[in-house]
Amino acid sequence: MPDASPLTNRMKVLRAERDWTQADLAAHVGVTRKTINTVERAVYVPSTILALRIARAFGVRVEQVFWLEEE
Amino acid sequence: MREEVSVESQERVDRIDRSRVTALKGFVASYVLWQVTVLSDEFLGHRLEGLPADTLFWLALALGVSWLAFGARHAWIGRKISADPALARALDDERTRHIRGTAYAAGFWSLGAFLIAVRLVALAVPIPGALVAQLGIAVALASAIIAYLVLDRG
Repeated sequence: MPDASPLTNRMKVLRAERDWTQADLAAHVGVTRKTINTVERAVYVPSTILALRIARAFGVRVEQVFWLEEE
Repeated sequence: MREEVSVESQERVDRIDRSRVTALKGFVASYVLWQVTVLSDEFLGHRLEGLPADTLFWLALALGVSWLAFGARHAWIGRKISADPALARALDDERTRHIRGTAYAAGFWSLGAFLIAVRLVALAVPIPGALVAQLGIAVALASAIIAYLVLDRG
């Protein structure tokens, strides 16, 4: 049975620390602003590749951006 | 290594994305209205009193032309996106592909539900096969595009 734990992220905090808009982050990652918005709001669960690209854009490890919420 | 999109390019990405959504909204709206008018003309035309002759025909023609124009605009935007690798990566990203797949599934299941409903109605009332075929295509296409537009809101 797949793990149903929701994927949580701190993209908003990391963006705020860098004074980035969603469009700025989208530009760094190479996706649309809508994609960043839906990932940030946990509406869309990104692939491993996209999660790694987002983490790379922030210059941090992926687990510092995304983690599974403790049950 | 994958190239990043500049902030200026990101504004262009957003602009093209908005144009794509607008074209798709126009496409589905004119398609639905066109189909309603065509089917009204074909199956109810002689029963609609008070309308000047051929009103529905000319209305259907205008809506059909509008549908084609929105379709051409959407195709033109698609070609513009394909021609630029950075645009193509941004505007055809994994979320877009994901919601496109979900929208196709929505169209498929809508068609299935429509056919089941038609089958049940046909037990009581005879329904022309041509009407079922045309309505089925309309239901599948419109529901797939509407599902895409709903899922694409970000």
